[in-house]
Amino acid sequence: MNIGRVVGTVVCTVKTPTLEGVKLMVVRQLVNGAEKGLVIACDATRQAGIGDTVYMIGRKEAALMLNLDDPPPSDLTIAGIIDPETL
Amino acid sequence: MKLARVTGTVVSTVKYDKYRGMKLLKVRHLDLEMNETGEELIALDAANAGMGDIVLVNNDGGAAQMVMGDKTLIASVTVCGVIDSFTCQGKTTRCHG
Amino acid sequence: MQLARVIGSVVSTRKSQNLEGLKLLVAVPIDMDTMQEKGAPFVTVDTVGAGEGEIVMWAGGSSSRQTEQTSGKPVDSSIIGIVDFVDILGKRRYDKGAGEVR
Repeated sequence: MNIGRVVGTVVCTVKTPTLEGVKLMVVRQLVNGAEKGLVIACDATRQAGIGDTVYMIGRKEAALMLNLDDPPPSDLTIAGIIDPETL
Repeated sequence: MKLARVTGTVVSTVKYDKYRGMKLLKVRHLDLEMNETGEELIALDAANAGMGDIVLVNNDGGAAQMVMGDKTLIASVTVCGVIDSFTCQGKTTRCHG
Repeated sequence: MQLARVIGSVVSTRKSQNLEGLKLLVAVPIDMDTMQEKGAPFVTVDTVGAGEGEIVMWAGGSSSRQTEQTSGKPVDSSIIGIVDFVDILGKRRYDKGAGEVR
């Protein structure tokens, strides 16, 4: 899983029905500590907020983590938040 | 599977429900000369590895289900073994001890 | 997922049977740091009724096949949402109603 920092949110009214109720976060990718580009990730924890350092799962697992039975088309999903005091 | 070094442990209170009780590690892939390559990743630990260990890292969802022993687990990167030594083109590299 | 702007459409009569009935659009990636177009345009499948000029969210890889329209189809990217707002570090960087905001 890759590391990033949550910096924002995206709002889509018109979207794939399976994405209803899923939080869309803008995440700054952190590669070996260095800031890289911005990506959008769904939030499987439902608790990620601006400033949180998170780890994200990609590929098919990104969709399955959100909903095993009816996976939404997510290619990147926040799987957890790293406790700030342990960074 | 790839060689990697454990570069840290991750404490994560808020996480995907299924990861509760599982140990998360930071790992960095290595080439055969033991130089760090690529990006530091977060992995689930199935081998009870520790900081500095040279480990085998798998990056596949199906393999993750097998090594963690849960057919419904959704994961990608897993540490599935601690390497003692490896031999390549007649040259043996000891990884600990 | 990434942002992109829809800049056109593709019509193909002779194609894989599995692609029949899908709406193919041309989109160009949007860099969220600048909210400007960056990178090469690509062909993607529309699942939400997006139109030319709109900023959309798209997913790639096998995840792009997790929609009703693209399930089991030979697709490697799908438009999965039409973007209304993008907020980064407390600033509204994009507002569909008002156009781009810096």
